[in-house]
Amino acid sequence: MLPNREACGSSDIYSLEEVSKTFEVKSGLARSVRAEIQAVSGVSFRVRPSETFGIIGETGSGKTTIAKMMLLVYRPDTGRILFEGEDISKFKDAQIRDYRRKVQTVFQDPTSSLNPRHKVRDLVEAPLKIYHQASEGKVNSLLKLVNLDDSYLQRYPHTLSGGEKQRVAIARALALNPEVLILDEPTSALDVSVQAKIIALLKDLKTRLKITYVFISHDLSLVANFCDRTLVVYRGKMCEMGETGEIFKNPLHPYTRLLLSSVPVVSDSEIRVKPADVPEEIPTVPINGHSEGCVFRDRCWLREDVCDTGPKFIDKGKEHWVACHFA
Amino acid sequence: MTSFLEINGLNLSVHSDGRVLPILSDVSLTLERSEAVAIVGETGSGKTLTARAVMGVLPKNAVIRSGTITFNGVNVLTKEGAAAAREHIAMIFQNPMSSINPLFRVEDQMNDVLNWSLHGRKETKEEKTSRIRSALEGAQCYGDGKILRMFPFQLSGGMRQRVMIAMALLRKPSLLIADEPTTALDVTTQKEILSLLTKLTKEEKMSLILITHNLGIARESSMKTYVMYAGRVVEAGPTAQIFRKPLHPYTKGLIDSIPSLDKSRSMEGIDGEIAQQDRAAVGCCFASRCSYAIDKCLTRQPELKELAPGQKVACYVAEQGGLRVV
Repeated sequence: MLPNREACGSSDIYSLEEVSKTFEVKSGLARSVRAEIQAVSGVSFRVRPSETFGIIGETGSGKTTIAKMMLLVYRPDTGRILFEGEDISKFKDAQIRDYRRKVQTVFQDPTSSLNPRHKVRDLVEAPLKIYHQASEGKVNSLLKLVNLDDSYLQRYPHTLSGGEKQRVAIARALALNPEVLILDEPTSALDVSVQAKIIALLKDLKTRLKITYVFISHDLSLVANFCDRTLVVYRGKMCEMGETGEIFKNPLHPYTRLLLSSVPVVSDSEIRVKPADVPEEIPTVPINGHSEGCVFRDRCWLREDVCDTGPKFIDKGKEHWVACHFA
Repeated sequence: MTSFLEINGLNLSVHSDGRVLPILSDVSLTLERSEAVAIVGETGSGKTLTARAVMGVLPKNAVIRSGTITFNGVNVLTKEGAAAAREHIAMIFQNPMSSINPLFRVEDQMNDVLNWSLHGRKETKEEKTSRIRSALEGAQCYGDGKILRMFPFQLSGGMRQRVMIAMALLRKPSLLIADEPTTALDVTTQKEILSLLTKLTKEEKMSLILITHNLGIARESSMKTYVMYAGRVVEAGPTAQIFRKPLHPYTKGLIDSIPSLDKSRSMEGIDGEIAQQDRAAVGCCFASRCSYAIDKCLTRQPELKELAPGQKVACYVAEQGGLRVV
């Protein structure tokens, strides 16, 4: 059974049902299709109101593609994305406008997501102007929300530090009172000391404004400290999903265990959290034939013949879902 | 006895718009053969410039005001010394894509490095190819020479970084400077690259300077750690000891900022950022952000003092045993 079919109320903010997306690689003068890349395949999950839902995975695992589909940048090839029970791909102009107000995003690199020729005031005011909500004092109160004072209003992005820029980006995302913030690696360009401050700010805003976060990251320690539930993806497929604490305490998928064991840590107590059964060196054994099997089997040290048929994503109890024959 | 690499009281400034800005103040560092040291600190702490001073590849507007750098007994700050040292030092950078030429095949780029290092001596094509192959193998780049014919864009991030390491290994350096070598990589690839670097220090007796802002990496891949702040070394000592018992408030703040796997840390963070005026401050460079600061910290720069075996700290509060009390 897939998680979207479980008995869950319509109270969910998001419900993704078997969402897939394939990109075509074109080359040559005729732009003929040379290859297809399955960026996301059969992804289903639900995001509950006021929770922080984490998506973790390596480069190319499809986490940003999932976010872009949720933001209506791409349309899924198959499957549906329901927002408050409604299919977002069926939205018409007015609904899209309303949806874009409710769902905002913060990107990884604030330097490229803030227009360098605009002052902080204009940057934060831009969404308000588009939605005819601009008013005296609104920008000031937004900046106050992210702990920046009025002196920042007339400054340009290049005069700000990385942390301050990201605060401006967060203020802009909050301008229209969104219900959901999609955070795509918002702190990976920052120093740890600044990252800690931004994460504290996001936690504080969540309790004050009752927003739902979808948090995309490759930093497992950060997800452990920030997310209520976590989804682990690998090459576009779901590996494991559940309560964050449960996943870190009892990782069932070998890929999750590999990720956990690879994190560099700074204290002895954290080493004890790392799974002990992951081999030091893992040779990659190429997959031949069967394209349906488990996506992780080329790197998996537990691999057996049964892995050539895809494992189902099943609930192992306590809403801890995993796709592995040996879990 | 002198060490393999010794930086002593290095002061460096940058000339910009007719002003002279101090960047590094009184930086000292020692490194032995086959030893791995880590330099950690936030953006703007001076980690990279310290390494570039060793390599002799400073920006044009940077001037060394005082201090010495000796590598293997040779003064690196003279023109001849720098040329001699560069024969034995190699450096790898954060983003492999920007340090490899995207227009040339891996083989051609590696050949260039070889030809340059031969200084006009002749070597047959076979000799060169075998040296390139053994360097690639040393960097765990397998694949029967297929990689040689590839362009950089055809390689994954991890493979590119391995090619960079292979290029650095071509000349069998006795010192490798790795400037944030894994920042752009996934955790699993990062672990492979770091264990490769550790293996090279053990088996090839290579010394390693690892520059990183990720303290976890410093802890797992170095023997000594130097913590830098605003162009000064504020704490230095054996890595395990520093992480178990950081004495400088900045080191402690950095460690407390790191999210922990087992949620054992508060993730407090440190307010503010490194400001240019901290570099020229009369008092302690960290005083403006330090929650432990006392009056003395604002009037005089504390000196590095050995407060625990091998562990040097520049902090008045730590001298008084203050961090433990608070």
